[in-house]
Amino acid sequence: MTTYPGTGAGPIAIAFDGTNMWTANANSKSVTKVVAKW
Amino acid sequence: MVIGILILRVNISSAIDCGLRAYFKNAIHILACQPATSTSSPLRIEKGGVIYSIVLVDPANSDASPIRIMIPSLTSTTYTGTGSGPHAIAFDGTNMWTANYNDNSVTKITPTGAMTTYTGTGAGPLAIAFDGTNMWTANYGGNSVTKITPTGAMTTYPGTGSGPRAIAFDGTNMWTANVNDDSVTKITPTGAMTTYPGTGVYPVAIAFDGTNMWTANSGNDSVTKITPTGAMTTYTGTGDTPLAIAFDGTNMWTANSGNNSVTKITPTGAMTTYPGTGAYPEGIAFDGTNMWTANGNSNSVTKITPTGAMTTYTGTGNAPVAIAFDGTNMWTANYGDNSVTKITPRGSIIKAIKYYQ
Repeated sequence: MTTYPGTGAGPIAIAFDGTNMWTANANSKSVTKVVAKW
Repeated sequence: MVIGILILRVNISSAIDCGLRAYFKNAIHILACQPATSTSSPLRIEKGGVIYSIVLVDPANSDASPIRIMIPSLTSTTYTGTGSGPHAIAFDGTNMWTANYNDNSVTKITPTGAMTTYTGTGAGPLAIAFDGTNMWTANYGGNSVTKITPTGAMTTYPGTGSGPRAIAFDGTNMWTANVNDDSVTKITPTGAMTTYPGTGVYPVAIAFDGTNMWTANSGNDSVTKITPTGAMTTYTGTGDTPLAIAFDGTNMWTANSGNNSVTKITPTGAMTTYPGTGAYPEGIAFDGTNMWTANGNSNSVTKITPTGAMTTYTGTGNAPVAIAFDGTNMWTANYGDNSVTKITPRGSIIKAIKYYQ
């Protein structure tokens, strides 16, 4: 496992766009995109 | 990012220069050696009848090596400015959309993070699903659904059952699971509704099996199968308090938060409950072979094989409440510490390449 900190506050849902994961952050009016970077 | 190079250059005698070795069964085995004075590499690859030498380099000068194993690093970018309280997220093939519970809106987020928030959904949008063209929200507080076109035009259709908390698409219609009156509502593309009462108690999640809708009923430990015409069959006997449901291509599976178990339900309702997940499984997802639960109270995930064999991997971030599959890895959203965790298929980090000297 690898845990990546730093999403917005309260990530409550997660979805995949075909490349990146995205979280919906319930407590911070935000989304976070997690990107694979070479 | 270069993480390592499979190179070793060590003299084990004055005469032999061993460039590659393997550590196996508590012993070092020499794989490639050459006379110490030779300038050719002991590490070679044959291709098409031609032998190629691979240059060995000093580990202190690793960038000089022709052999590199690359793995991606990960960065996260947080885009602020959605509506208030985004509780659900769905993909339309290009953009992400959130359902924002606190201010009755949705937000469209482009791949580069540009946001447009459209206000005016029904009250309390708590779930969101895509029909191939439009997004739909289930509005818990307003007993309604809202259809949102790609440009943000909204139409709200009132009249679902009470407390629509989950929503799923059957290929033609949207269906909501209504927790406050134990019903489901079928909504046609034009908003015509039919509510079917009689699910189990508190249908909190809904999933489609290709023909029928299924609800997970957390209030009486059951699932309900609903045919396209609304005929219902409720099967009792899942584990305690099923909060999530997912389909494996044949069977439905529930994640049972109350007694740390999953239940497999065949198309005819035969159930097998497998105990032993981590504490409080509240999310479930399928990887094409196995089911995985996100265990909110034990910072772990559990992999469940088709026959119910379980392996729990601890060490996610705090309070993993949701889980999704990217085609290779599972990911959890960790509500308690604002993080995500990637879990590889074996449940551990792939980290095998190091320097030895």
